[in-house]
Amino acid sequence: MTATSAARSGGTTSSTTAARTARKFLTRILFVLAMVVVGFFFALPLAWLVTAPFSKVPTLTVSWPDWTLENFRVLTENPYALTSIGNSLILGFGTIAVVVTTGSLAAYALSRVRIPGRDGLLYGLLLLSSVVTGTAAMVPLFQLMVATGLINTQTGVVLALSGGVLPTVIFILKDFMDSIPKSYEESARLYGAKPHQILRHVVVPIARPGLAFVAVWALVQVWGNFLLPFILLRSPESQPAAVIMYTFYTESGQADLSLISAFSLVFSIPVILLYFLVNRRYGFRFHGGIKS
Amino acid sequence: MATIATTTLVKEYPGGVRGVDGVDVTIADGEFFALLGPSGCGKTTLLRSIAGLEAITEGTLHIGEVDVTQAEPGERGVAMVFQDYALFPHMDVADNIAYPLKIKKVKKSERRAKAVDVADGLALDGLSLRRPGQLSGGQQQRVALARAVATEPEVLLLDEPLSNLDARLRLEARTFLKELQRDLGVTTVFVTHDQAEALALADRLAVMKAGRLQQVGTPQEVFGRPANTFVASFIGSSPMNLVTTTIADGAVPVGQGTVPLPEGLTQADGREVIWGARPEYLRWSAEEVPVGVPAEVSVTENLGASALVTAVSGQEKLQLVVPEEDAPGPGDAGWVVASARRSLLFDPETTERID
Repeated sequence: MTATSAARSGGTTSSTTAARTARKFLTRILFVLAMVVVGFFFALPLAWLVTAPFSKVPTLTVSWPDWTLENFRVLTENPYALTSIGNSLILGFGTIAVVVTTGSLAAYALSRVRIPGRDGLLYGLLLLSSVVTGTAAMVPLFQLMVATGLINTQTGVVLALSGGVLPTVIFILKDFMDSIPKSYEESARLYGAKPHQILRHVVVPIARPGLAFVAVWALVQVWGNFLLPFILLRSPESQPAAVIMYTFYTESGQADLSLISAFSLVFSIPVILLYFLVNRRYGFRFHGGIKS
Repeated sequence: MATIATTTLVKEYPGGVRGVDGVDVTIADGEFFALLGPSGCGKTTLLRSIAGLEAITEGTLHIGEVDVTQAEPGERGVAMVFQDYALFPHMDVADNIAYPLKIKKVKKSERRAKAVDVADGLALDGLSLRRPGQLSGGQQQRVALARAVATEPEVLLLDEPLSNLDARLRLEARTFLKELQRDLGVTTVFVTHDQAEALALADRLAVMKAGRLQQVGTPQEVFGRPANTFVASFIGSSPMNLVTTTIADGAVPVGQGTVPLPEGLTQADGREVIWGARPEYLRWSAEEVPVGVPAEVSVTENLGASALVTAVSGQEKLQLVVPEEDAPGPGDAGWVVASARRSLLFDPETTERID
């Protein structure tokens, strides 16, 4: 009201801009408040992850810890805890190895060779990938593993996990490969480079950020996967961390929070480390290996 | 060093489209040869066929004495500079230049030394540790040239070598290319859609259209005596004047006047022809002349030291290049004068030049 009357009396521009700034300021405050609530919601579990392992008696609430390492000592005494992290690493890096080599070869071929129905094939694979590692496929997958003698082996789990992540990996890598100009390869070809040399000298180095991204992404997928190793690995010595965590109970059948909290922290470290390592070296970019 | 010879070379794409349609051309040893034509005319396809990047459907290709029609690109002794230069972004300049030597299994120290040596020769001294992304367009082009030259190829192929450079740099690079080619004496084929570039650089050039050769000749021949109306209108910074007319009284009526028959040609009265003359070869006269085309100036465009004058005579528009001091203004009347030595006749049916 004041703004309009002031406008009539002459100071048109200054008073309307004042009203606009006030409104802008208000929306800004509301926005920040909303973000604080959302941020708090997400920060709470993380705060628990950092504080609970150091409490004498961890509960499900966040409280200031006593900074004791007692929980970690208990963890080292658990027969399966640390070997399970090793198992997770074997599964994770095994899958990365399978997925990055086969995925990059497949993506390169799909990017360079025109086959009819290529895009349909890719989308089909992408859709089916959720089936391979999905609950519905567990019984046939289990039978397949028994039939091939791969049941209760890390190899079997790595292969099954790779099958699940490969389509997405191929899909992402194909995009990276598509962004590499053909003239690079043609140029190398003119100088007499064989296809394997072109791949090694030109394509892979340029697609490296894509390969790194895919590797981290595959590790994250495998690291948190529970169902597949739970079903395909029968002995606790070979089970990965995500499965072992499920066995942490006290004698009374309660969840053993001191073990679980300490283990959770240890469990999260490798993924975070790999993320920072790769991020520092390549930076995460979803698109393209080349700055044009 | 080698000659390149093609016989009825055909490149047919799946679906029956012919990118190159029966090209016979022989490029002499050490020659600087241009493939010129509008986009989509097959000039790049022909170049890529010579390189081996496109499989040849029919015909043969010889480089030197060797039939390389089916040879792998790496076995033909050709080097190519791509339009986008295709420098590997993850290698420094020296590694880029030395890459062909790496494939040939030359020792690392030896090939780095050679790379630096070649780079110095192309005014790239001190840049050997830079990445391609840190170089200017002109430098990138010279690196690409250095990489091509480092292999000491028998044939050097250049795909639109100047198109990625800005106008100023282009002139510089043009002179540079010509010098380099002369120094190396390597048989060089380059593709361009810019007729001025082709005329300036090439010893001989081939004009292409729809996969076929229209004319092969020296720049003087192609400019002065185009084989058909397509070449006539494609070559030259302003296209040739082409007027469809009928011979009368042993002369060529154009607009409201006449021009003489081209030198050495006799044509029967009543024959329909296309008369052609380059704007550069027409003259403007303010006084009446015995044989000329009375016309009125409609537009004058300044070209610097000369002016491009568009004059209208009856239904016909004629363009002529006039020195700046004689340039008439719009609305001025005068006569367009053609020389018998510098005008041509084309057959309206076949569009071929009449000799």
